[in-house]
Amino acid sequence: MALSICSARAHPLQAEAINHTYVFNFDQFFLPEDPDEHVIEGGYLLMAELNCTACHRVPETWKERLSAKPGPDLSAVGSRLDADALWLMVRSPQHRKKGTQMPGLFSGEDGDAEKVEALTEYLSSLTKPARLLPKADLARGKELYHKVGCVACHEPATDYRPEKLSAEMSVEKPGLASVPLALADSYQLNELAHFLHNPLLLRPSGRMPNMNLTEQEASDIAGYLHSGRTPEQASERAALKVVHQGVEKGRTLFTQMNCVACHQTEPKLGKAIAAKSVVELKLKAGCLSEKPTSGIPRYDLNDFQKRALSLAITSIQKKTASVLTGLQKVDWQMTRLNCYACHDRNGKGGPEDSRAAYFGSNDGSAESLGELAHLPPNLDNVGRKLTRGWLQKILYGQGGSVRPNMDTRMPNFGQAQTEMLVDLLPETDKRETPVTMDISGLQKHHRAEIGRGLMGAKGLACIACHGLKDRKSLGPPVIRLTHTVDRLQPEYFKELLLNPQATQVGTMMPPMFIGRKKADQEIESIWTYLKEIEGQPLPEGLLSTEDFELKPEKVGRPIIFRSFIEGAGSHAIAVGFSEGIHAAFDSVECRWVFIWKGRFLDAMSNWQSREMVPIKPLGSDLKNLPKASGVREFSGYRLSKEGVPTMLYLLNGLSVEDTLRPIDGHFERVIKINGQESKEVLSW
Amino acid sequence: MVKVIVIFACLFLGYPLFAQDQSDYYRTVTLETPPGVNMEASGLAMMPDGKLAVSIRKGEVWIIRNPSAEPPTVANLGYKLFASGMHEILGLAYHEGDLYVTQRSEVTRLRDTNGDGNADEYYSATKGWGVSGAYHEYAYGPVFDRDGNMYNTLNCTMGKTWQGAGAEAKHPLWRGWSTITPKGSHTATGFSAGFRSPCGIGLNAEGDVFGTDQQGNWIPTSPIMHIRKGAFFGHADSLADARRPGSPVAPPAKLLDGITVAQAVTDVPGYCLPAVWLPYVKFGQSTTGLRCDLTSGKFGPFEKQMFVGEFVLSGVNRVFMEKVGGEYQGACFPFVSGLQSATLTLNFLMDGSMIVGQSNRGWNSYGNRSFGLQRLVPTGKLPLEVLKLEALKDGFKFTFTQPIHSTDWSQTRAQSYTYLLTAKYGSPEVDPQALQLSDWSLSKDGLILTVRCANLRAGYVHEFELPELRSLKGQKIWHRLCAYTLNRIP
Repeated sequence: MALSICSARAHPLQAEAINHTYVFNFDQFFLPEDPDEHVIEGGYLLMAELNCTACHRVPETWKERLSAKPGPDLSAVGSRLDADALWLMVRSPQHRKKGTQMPGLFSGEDGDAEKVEALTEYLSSLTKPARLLPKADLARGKELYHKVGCVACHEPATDYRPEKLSAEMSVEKPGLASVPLALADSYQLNELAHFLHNPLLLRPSGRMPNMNLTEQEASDIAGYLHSGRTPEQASERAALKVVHQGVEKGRTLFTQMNCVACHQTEPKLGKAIAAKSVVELKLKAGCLSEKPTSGIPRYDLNDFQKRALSLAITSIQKKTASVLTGLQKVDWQMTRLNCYACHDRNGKGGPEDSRAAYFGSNDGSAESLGELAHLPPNLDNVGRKLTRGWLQKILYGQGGSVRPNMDTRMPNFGQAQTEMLVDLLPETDKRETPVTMDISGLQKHHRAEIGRGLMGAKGLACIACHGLKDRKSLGPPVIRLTHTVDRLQPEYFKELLLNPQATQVGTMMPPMFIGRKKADQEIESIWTYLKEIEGQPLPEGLLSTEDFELKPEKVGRPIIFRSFIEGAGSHAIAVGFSEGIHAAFDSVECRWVFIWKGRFLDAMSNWQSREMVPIKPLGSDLKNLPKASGVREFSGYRLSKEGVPTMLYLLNGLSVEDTLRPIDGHFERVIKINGQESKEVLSW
Repeated sequence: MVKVIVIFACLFLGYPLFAQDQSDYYRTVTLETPPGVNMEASGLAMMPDGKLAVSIRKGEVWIIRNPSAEPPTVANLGYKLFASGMHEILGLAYHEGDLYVTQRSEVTRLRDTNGDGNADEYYSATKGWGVSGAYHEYAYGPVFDRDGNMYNTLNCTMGKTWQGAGAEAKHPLWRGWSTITPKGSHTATGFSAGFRSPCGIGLNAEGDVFGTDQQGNWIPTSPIMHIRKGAFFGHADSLADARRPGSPVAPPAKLLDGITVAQAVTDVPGYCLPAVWLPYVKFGQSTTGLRCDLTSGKFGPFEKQMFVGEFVLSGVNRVFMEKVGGEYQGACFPFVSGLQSATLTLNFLMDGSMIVGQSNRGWNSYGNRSFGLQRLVPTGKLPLEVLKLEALKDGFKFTFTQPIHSTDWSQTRAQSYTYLLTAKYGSPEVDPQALQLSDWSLSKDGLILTVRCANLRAGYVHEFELPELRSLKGQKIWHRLCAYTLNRIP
């Protein structure tokens, strides 16, 4: 049997096959050269992640740590996969989906064919029609797949280049193998989209988290993963010519063969059968034997995994208790959920460089924030940083993202998998020396107003980098402070402001409060302002108190304004006349590009915003002027006594003086070439 | 997976810059600015008659008649708008009777031909670099060398380019380069490459051109580079233009990501180390303008040394350089901090005081005013400082501004470290080692201190935090921190 090969070799489905059951976080943190004391931890991880404890009991004290995870819900699997795909997966999961964590149960060449057929028939019978999702856009799906965070665990396509990679650098292949998605193209397209839209419905373990995709986005990614698909046929199944077995036989087998230990299909199926307890297990037998017999789960473990598991099992057999500290429990759950694929906490984790390259930013002005603009935040001390409510919001997928400039999304792992983190983190991350913060606010008069002043342009200018409500900051798009009091613990807020670099690893926040004698009170005032922000005016600087519109009629002289101007390029010179007619000159093409009437220009973008978005003429009756010919080179301009500019340039080596002057509502254009003067009237 | 083990040096030393009250030595005079004018001073040029020209970011040039006037009121200073309407001026120079400003897309020579005090000729003195519309394409300069050649520095492109910029949106030329416009020419061409955000450009006492840059990708911490033809300082984005025919920079065949700068010197042919690294946080976070002290001692004992603007700490650092093996290298020292706003540019007035132009546009700074001008006026009291720190073949030589008492030199904290050349944002201090110091020896006159160092490492910053020193008169040392960039061992 051959893997179906797509024509598009660049596709993520074509990732190099993994020849052992793949647990990403095991490969990430454990190496064969590591000592036994470390590898044993990897063994525990494998026992938990490979669901050993779904069948094998462990002593009471190990139960919590080694709890099995719920396997994929198969109650409508017949709608997702056709009978041939199901047959292949049941017959030999490691063959159909290299690297899968699902064990195979049929290892013999014969005898099992009928069982496999029966299970296939049973699973095929489990169907549920699903609503049709929007039509997929493959190109957008490809972008999304590489940007929203899929490639933190899955394989990037070789024909995709991360945007921010310098043209000088070649795309680096991830060093760590990718979590296989080799079954994705066997899914019915619409079902795959549904799965991607909310993976937790089918896989409550959260190992494939919910990426907060819209239905359209889920459909787009599904479409992309489906592109280049070839229909799959189990020719072996056809060749076997097994007679019809009946759904009922399959249903019985599903319980008998202990599929129910991991999978759900229908209510009222039999309970899982307990296998030998871990304490009674023999190493090198059962699942760990060289060639497990038919009916015994076969995982395709590699030698290193077997070593880790053997160490773990031996240890459980010897020891009675496994007591983890809070910090260790947090680390354990973060490892199991693979939070470390994206986040760094206490020196562990974070994406490897080759994968980090895909974490982009959708806001150009964020670039100067460096990694903070695109990489998920470091989680040191997060338990004392975020409030319980905000932790829940983020971990349970109820919003709470404050970094809209990041392409990558914080996924939702489901409450069941993360509520222990919400409980443990505040305790584990407690500060050693407590910070006190008076948040009573109202007890002192006008504190919110003091806070507003401090945040403003004439205070500490927090708004230089932080936006608030619907207003962008004056500089880079650092987190908007609108929800600060809901999001941050007040003590952390204070600790951070007093000493940013020491409190938050890698922050770029300047130490604004060093040497300020009233720092405590000032920080409390800012907090008070942020608490009462609804109905309060915004800090000075964010409010547009100035009018940036350029008004030549007020100045009484022409206004010259060089900028990026729509239609006139990145070397444009606009001239506004008090008569209410204006012109734009392109100093690269050396020609008047267009003229217009009414209002002139708004300099806001040029003077106030960091991005310097090209500006548009404000008035009306815009008239484009004809293109120019000849070799032209700009030399500058001269102003008359009245301030009217004469543009100077070379045309085929001859010096040109080119002036527009308003007369009676139209322009008179005077052109002097090598001293020869000519005039024309531009009226429109 | 094997991870590169990076040892973070103690990044937070509690800001040693805030060591002593700087007003003992330099008085800060805040110049009042005209109402309604955002004096985001981006360039400062002294005119021969003692007037000061100030360019501001929004595209204007102002002339201050009496920049040293006190009290520094608007009326006493005498502000006059000279030129306007230009596109984001980030540099200003006075050269052979004329003012030159650098706009986004060109250097413009400004002339007042009818003598009414307003510029009426805006002459395109040089152009030729690409402007794609991306926000980060700042252009700095100009400076003129002995022969009248003009130099500018250009940021690399960051942010979204704009289709409306035409061909320049696809490839903006010479981004991340310094350019030269030979005397008589009007076209800027690439001179040296590998810059990220080279906010400062200036001459040293010998007339050689130096530039500053800011930490980010490929720039591990703020550097001061000796800008010379063909040099490549590490930023990858500039290499596309290095492959153009006639480029003075020979591009390395492959840029290696994540090796140390010390290794890069040998492993990336063409890579040039900056003359001085300014360690991150300890010396601030972003270097800006730089200027050589040519006040002949009026500004204090630091004649012919370079002063470098610091954005985030709103201050100024000091740099001493020497030539070792024909190349510049040297040491940095904290100078002042805590000015009212971020330092963007600086210069010296006729009276020997320093004028600092400020704006914290786009980023926040310790000084919380949005913009302004301040003067640092020497009080006449001589600070006790390390005047010079020089490398020896087996150690270092400290020269002090005043004779000192010997002390328990074992209290010196000293280490060396280097940086990574990486596409990531900045680099921590890597591969740190405590310096093995011995044989401290103070000269008879108490001015010169030498020390042996058993583990000098080329390509590494050698950082010292001296003990609490006192002069023979009992004066305490102003700053104890200094860091020598030992590119070569003499």
